[in-house]
Amino acid sequence: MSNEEQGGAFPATRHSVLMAAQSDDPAVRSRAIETVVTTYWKPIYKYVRMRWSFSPEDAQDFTQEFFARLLAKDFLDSYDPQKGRLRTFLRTCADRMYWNQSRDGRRQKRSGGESNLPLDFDGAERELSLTAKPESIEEYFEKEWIRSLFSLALERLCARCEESGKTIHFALFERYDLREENEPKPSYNQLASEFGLTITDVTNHLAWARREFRRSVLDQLRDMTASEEEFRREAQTLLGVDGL
Amino acid sequence: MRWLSDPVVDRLHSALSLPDLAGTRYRAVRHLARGGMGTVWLAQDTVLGRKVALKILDSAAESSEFAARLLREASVVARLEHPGIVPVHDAGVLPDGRAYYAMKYVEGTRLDQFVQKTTPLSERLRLFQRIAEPVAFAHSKGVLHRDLKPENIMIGGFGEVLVLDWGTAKVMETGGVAASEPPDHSASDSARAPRGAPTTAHGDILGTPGYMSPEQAQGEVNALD
Repeated sequence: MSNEEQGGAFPATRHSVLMAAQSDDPAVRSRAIETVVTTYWKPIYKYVRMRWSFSPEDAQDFTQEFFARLLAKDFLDSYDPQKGRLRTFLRTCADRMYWNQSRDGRRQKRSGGESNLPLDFDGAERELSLTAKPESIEEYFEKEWIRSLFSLALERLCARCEESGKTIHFALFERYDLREENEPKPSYNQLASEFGLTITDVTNHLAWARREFRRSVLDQLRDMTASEEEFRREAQTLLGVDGL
Repeated sequence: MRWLSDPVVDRLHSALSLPDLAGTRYRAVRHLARGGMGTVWLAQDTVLGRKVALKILDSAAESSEFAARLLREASVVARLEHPGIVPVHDAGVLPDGRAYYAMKYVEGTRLDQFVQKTTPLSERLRLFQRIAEPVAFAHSKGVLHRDLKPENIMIGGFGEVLVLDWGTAKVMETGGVAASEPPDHSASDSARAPRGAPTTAHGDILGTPGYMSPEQAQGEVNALD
């Protein structure tokens, strides 16, 4: 699923992801659910792995079942944006589904051919192996949500840079802002000689890329939230602004 | 989808929190404080090569109302030219639509922290006088601070005293600064909806309970002089 497809799925309003997900039109609902799944499946999968120490196989079944129910409108119909954030609601739904399954003494096993979503569980497992055990499971879920948001925003930024012929801007951003902890921080001078630019160009290109990344995050956030109010709340938490 | 490690997520998160100052003469350095309707950042003025404090509105969406208030606050303080009042250098709107103003960055110790150490009586009296001078000057220009308290007074490294945060100031009907201002309004209504100042009361009673006058505490705004 490309980001453009995600972004263009709700022409009336960018905040209509939830309404679209509850639409009676299967095509509209499917596109909306796809956005929700793309954004939330990893946080949900990792959350159940961490919270209940599920095996990878059980966590995969749980995640597939969770989003299948989402698709079947079991969950989203009861969501009221006035009462809380969508991500908190989804986490609570996961908790509720777990407790219901535990109470009923069953764990849903899904066969491979049962319209499973194509989710990269192996990739999620690799990421889990690189993550420290959290002190608070709620904070962990929030951090995974932010990681998912930033990763998707980064894809948007990358696409924007390619479309506008600014791949060098993205390369600089990658080299400087996305470097890993064990990589030495390059100076602007180093970057200038490495990329054959002036230091002023490096400064300007990085400023542009950061500005565009910020815009991508806000665009992504709009797709991931269910109302203007929630969008503003999340923007305030993330960026220190009420929404731009 | 690319996986981002914790340090990279933290770095991006931190970078996103900085104000977007592209196209301005300022470069954000770090967060300093949070006020009623905006946040104060330490920034570098790249033209003059000096540090400044930038007060930036949180919201661009409601810019017409809040921006007007913030810019009015800047305008009122800018015209209070006194050594004991933080000078305003510049004001405007950022590329992202948020209003801001730039003022002198004051390095020093807040009065409430300063008096924690033993200070001779003569020094305390000197401080008292230095606080009273800018307040009296502002009164002569028709401006009442309305939130004078130790947290809003800064003692600089050379003993200079500065009265900060005129965001809840009232412009009187008469007076030098007030002559061109609409009467009986706060320079900013930040204390009407404070977010970062829990000690400042909401509603029509403005200020900090422990430091306000009886008239102010009773909400008799017009009785203040």
